[in-house]
Amino acid sequence: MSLNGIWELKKIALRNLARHKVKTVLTSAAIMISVAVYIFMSSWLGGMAVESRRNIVNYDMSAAKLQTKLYFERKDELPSYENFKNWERYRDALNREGFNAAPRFVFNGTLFSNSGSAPMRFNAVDPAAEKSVLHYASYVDFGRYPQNGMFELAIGTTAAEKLRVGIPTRPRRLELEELIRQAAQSDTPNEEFIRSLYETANMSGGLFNVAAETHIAGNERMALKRNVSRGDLDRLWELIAATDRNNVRINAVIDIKAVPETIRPTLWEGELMTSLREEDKELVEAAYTYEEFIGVYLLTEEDEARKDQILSAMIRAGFRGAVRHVNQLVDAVVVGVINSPDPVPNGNIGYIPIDVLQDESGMMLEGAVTELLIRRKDAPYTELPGADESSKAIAAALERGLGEPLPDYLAVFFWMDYMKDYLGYEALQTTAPQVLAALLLFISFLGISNTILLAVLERTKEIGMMRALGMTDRQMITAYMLEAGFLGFIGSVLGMILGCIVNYPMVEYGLNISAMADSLGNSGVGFRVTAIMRSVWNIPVIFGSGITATVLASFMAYFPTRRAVKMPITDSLRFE
Amino acid sequence: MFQITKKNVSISVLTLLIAVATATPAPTAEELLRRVDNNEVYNTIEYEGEMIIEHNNRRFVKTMKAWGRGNTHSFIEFLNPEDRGTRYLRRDGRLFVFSPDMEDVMLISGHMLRESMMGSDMSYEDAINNEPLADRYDAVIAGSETLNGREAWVLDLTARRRTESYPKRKLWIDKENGDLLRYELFALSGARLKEFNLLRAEVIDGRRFPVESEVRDLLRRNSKTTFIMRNVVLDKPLPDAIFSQRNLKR
Amino acid sequence: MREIHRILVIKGVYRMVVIKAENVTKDYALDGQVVNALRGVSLEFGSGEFSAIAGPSGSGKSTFLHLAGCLDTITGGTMTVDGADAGKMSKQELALLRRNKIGFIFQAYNLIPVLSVEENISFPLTLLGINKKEIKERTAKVLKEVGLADMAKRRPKEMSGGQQQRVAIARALIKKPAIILADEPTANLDSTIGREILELMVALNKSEGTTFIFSTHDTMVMDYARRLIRIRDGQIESDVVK
Repeated sequence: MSLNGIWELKKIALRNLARHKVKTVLTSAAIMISVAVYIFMSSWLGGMAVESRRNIVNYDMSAAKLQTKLYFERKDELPSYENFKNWERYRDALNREGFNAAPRFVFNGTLFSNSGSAPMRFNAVDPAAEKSVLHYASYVDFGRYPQNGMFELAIGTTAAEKLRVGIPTRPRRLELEELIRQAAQSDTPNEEFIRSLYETANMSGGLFNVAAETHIAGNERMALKRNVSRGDLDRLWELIAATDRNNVRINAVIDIKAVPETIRPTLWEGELMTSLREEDKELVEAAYTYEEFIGVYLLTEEDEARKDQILSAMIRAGFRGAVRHVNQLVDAVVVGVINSPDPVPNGNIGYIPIDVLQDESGMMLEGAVTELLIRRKDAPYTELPGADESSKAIAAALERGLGEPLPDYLAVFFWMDYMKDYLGYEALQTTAPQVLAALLLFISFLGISNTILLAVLERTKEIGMMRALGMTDRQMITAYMLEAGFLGFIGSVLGMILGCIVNYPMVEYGLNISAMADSLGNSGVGFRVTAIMRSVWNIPVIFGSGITATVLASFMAYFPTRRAVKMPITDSLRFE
Repeated sequence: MFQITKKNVSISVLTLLIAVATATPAPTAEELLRRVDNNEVYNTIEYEGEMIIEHNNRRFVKTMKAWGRGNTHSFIEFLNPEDRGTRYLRRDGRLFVFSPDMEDVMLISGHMLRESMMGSDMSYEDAINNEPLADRYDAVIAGSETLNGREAWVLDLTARRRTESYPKRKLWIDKENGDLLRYELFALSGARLKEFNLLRAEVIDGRRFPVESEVRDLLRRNSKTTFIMRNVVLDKPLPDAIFSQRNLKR
Repeated sequence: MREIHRILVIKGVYRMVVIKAENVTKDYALDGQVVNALRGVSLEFGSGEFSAIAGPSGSGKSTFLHLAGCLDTITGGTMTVDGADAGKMSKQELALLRRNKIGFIFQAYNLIPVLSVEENISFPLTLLGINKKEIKERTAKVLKEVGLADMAKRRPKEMSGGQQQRVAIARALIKKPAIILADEPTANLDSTIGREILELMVALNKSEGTTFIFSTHDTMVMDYARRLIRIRDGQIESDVVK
């Protein structure tokens, strides 16, 4: 069709839209709202994703880790026996090249308080170094961060609540009274002081209340007042620390990798030989001799390097005898409670100085660490690690600083490699709401479909006449798709504008959801976000959704029009 | 003044020799330990048992039937309603469990071994670890104590290898009948982790058996597990099929 | 070529066959039943005719007109329109044929409500892809011919029935079609206006030489027609040239 013809169709389409103003307005309003909602939702989710990534880097992982490859392979099991020594060399090399490095030994265990126990992940750290790569240490709600040389811990606020350690934030009255009795020690001003810090809790539970608590007269729930000063909190902590409330015991198992001196025949045949790789069997068989008199296989290999190989082979095969577990129970004191913007340090995690765990009174670390956390010295808090903090860049810097290549068994792992599971989870989280929004979009298009259907029906005679005048079916369909497309376009443009208007304050100022986050508890939201949620601009989504809406709208006209042109012209003309 | 004369010396030596010959020799720590290791030596054993777990003011009674061969093979089937169908097989140094809910056999390995068995005070690791103590520990007699009216040797055990699960143990051994009356397990720091007490022993086929005993996990508050053995039959021929995976799944 | 024919036709010298129906049948389904609307109609129409097909309702007169106008397809026989065999053409080809060669005037005017008078009239030309300037000229001319020059910008809903029908006539004429098929064009008009319209069409038939074929049961139309074909129950009863 000529340009003229298209213009004529466009004219007809636009005039038809103007003809039925109410319908046009309503339908495009539906599209406008869907587009705006979609834009808002993806910007919001985008903002949450950025925020949670920032939180992972700033409070949990830092930019990268130096670790043994074998550890990384099984990192979910926390194989603490895959550690490495001489980490100071690497730290110094990194410092020379402009990076901060903090050592860590991570192990699993159970923390016992006077009220109960909880499984915990323990991070043995160097307090000063930690603060140079991560920021959670600035969020010690109560108490302080542990110091070198002491058996003391900082634990997450969730663990503190569960174990009833530190300052209780929402105790029941009887528990509070008992605490007052112990802490104040019959000193009336102290008693009154403690009581003054608490008030009856709001029982409704807030916005996301799962189960409103039952009110038990005489044992109602109390809450720490929100406006208590730091000075008062410190004083309260002092009083509590004088009781035994903060005394804890760490029960952990020390995993030691060692080639077994002796192996019983049943284990040799039943477990070891069946799980070793073919190429390793010869090596292992050569290292042991069957001692008939005692009835065991005895280790005869002396060479350390070969023993290491044997050890690796056994660990690879999952042979139990190669990793021994020594039970340990250590007394310690909780000196601080962490409440950071990221849920990880707030959970069942304990931070303890690494120096006290070096010998048998601790975890027999003897200078080993499971990882070195790395961050560029001047890395800004608000930005994610860039190319200069990639694993390649850091490995190169490390080698430069060392003056030699990195040992084969060590590697640098970028935080994203480490968090692949989380990032996958995050993708899932963003997909679901977006699918929802897309569904919303689709439903509004059913509205257009309906509008077009009615319009086509109404204009059956007109359509018949135009066909009689010689308009082909294809032209007819194009005309109506144009009309619907315009409708979609109007809705899209308005929707994009509306979406941007709503987004602007969300990006600039964000939404403070502290209250909501509080009633949800730390792990309720599923994202590692602060109490202020911010959106980000997502230009492709904004234009993409607008274009999609227009195209989809146009498409909605296809089927009704096609049906109309299938009708014989004479019937159309007769249609009333 | 005692004069060192030839006669005096010979009398002294003679007296000494007689004393040595007639006196009851005090056992060495290692001997005691070996005797404990060799307690309960049998070819096969079959018995009905009970495991009573008391924890947090709750009481669970689990009944079972058990078979064993030597120190290496055992098969236990639980009979009480809540656990009916749960079966354990220990052989070749491995521990398998069949769970009727999952209808599947699982190998218990790695960190799972440290878990409590059926919620009791015993861990899986405790249940399968039975290498002779004398090989793994250096023993020293720390003295004597009276325990429940019985005179007992107190033994302090220190692990020979730094990779030993419990770096220290303490044993109370009945001076008269050699029963292991009590033992305590310690962490590397010396903190007490577990406690075992013999409640009642019986002579079966000429051997002494701890038919009633209790274990306490000291990290759990107010927790103890009592083990009772009944109808113990020793050295009856048991078909190998009992200690098979097929027997777990049937 | 066309112009030569036209002049020759007007001069009564040359007669071209514009529509040739041979034994045309048309069946359609109605409520599950088959209705035989046309049972073998054979007719020929030459250029410049001013002819009417008359009959009671249901006789098939409108049906024949629609088939001649290629608005519908025949069931049997052949229908040749301006030399083209309509039975062998696709929907698209038929549409193009209508676009180029056939004009329609209907009882219900069927004007496009969102377009102005002159836009309605020029619509067929835009379909034909004719340039704007020519469209403007021809529209102005045709508006004058139907006497609506001062109503060019009005919308159909602002006009009387007679005026709307004039627009329809103008629209049909503007593309200088071979045939104009008028299906009961006076049915919605009172007799005075109807007469005016008929006078107009007669004048246009004379000046342009366009073939006019009516389907009607209006005696006034029948009087004006130079040839009267009577049809009943789907078959031709009589065919008289006055």
